[in-house]
Amino acid sequence: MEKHSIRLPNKFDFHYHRVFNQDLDLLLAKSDLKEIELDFSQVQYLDSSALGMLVLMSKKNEESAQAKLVIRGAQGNALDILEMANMAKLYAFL
Amino acid sequence: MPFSNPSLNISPPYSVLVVEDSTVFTLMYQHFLKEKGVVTTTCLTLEDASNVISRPQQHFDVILLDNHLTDGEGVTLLPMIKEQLKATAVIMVSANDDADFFLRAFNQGIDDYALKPVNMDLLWLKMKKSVHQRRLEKLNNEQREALNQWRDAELQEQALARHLIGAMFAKIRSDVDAIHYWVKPSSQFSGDSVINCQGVDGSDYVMLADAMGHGLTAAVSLMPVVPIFKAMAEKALPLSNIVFEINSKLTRLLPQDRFVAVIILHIQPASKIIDIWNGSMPPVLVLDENGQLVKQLDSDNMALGILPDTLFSVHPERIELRDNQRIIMFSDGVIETLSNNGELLSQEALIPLLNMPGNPLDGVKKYFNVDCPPASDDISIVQINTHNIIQSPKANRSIPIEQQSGFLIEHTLCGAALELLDIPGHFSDLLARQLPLPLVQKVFTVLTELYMNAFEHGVLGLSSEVKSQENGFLTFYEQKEQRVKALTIEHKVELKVQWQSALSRLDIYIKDSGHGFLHGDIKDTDLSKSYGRGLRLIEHLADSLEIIAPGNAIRVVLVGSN
Repeated sequence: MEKHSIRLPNKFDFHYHRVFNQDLDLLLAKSDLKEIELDFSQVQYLDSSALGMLVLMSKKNEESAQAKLVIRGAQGNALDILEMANMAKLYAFL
Repeated sequence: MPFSNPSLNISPPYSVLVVEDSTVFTLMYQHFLKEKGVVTTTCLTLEDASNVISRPQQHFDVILLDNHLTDGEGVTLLPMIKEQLKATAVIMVSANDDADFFLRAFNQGIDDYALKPVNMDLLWLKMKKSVHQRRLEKLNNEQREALNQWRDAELQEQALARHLIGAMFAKIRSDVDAIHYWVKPSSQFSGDSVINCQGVDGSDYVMLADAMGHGLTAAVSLMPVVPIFKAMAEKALPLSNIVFEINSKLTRLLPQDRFVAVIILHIQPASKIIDIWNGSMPPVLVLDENGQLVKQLDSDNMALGILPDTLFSVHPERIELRDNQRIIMFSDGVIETLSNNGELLSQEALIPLLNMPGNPLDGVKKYFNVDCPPASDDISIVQINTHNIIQSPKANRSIPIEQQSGFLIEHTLCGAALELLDIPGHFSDLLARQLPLPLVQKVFTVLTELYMNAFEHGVLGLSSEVKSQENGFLTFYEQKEQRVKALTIEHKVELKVQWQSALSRLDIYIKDSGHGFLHGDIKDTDLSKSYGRGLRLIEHLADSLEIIAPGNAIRVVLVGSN
């Protein structure tokens, strides 16, 4: 397992917090993890807790797997918000 | 099955009517037939015989009919027998070997004849053969009847299917002069289909689908695709969402051995891009104004209806929308159909056909209609002229809000309702039916921030500082859970949302029952923190933001046109 993709839901907001963190902890516990891709292709709605989750993920990754973090397929308002929050500093955008 | 089982063994006749005035013969028949296990009825006169024949519910397998009877000729009974006992075989028995007589008798429908003196073994053989012949005829008639019924039902079903499919596709295809397509089905139903649809933002969606197989079964596989494509394209949703949704639906609905190969284009003149998703179709070709191939997009995705959501990649390829180009899509029938010369059309040979003078696709049509025998697979090809797309007046319009509308919705939530009702989620679902999606997306984010701010900080008095500690999020949500349990009717959030289409303006006012707090430090919020972006987000998305003293109420304005 080198590369792993997480497909985010249509509404990526505080309701998704628990699922996201569970998935993330499981993922980061794996060895040989080189890249984590967040698939934003289905995300239409986003709030600031989503941004919080992304920052947290970056921090946790920094402390453990140190995998490459990628955001893929973000578009429209979601892309706009990600860019505004300077997520490009933490994630590679595809 | 409507057919009865054909019995190919010759089974003996079991019910015979003997019409014979000679007692010698009748006794001989009776004796012989009894030996064979046959039920025999004997009539000595014409009158007697016609009485028996005209009885209702009468059945005989064979009538042995003597011609010379005391009260007339046996042949005179034939019309009555044909009328009353259609299924009964008639063997004419006569001492007269006049060929003309028997010819006439055959014309009246006898099955065979026997000459007196009768050889009983030969007669028995003739009886069995006649009965077998009759049974085969009966079976044949039954089968023909059943076949006719089946064919009629089939034709009715096909007519209905043609109507349904025709109506379904006719409704969705919009006439756009930039988009030319040609579908040549191999049967009366096509498994290939071209659909185009315009989004609310003026972008065009074009889909070429090739369902596995051909004919009605293939056409049926396309049916679930059409309404999803139409509904999502009209809302101008991203291509990745449409592909995801159609795949998910087909994977659930289609049998495992069925799938739909597809190319979907999303042509967005406003941002000068084309998104292309190719699932197991031949490559998409881009030709320049000289008809030269400038780009080729091969499929690296599986067809729709195979992979589960988790394994399915939905990311489209993006190319620039340039003037005076042509985008070509085609199904595999185009390159897998043998010509009269036994050759396949290569991609290299296809391009000159596309460049032939005349109406669009004329060269391709001529090739398949004249130079090829009737194809066994569906053939379809689409050509899109980017020039006409770019020139189209609809292409450059901003998000339209066609009909005037307005509303003012006020919510007041108290106590446990504050936690139980997902107000931002419900609001955006409601607004998505009326307002353009990009605006609804912004509204969702803004409403979520406002509401969570009012609820968590205003009403519950929680502080986000906690989140920066080790396991801070967990602590924060634990605190929140505790305080939620202590909510009373005095805890309150008021929300007012007003929409005015004429101004394309959405006003949001939110007030909580908290004490209010100053947000003077908004500008200094550190982006590297995992919290505290809420108001920054609102500032970024909204057209105006006003915090009302003492800080427990906020007014936000969003304007639709973008």
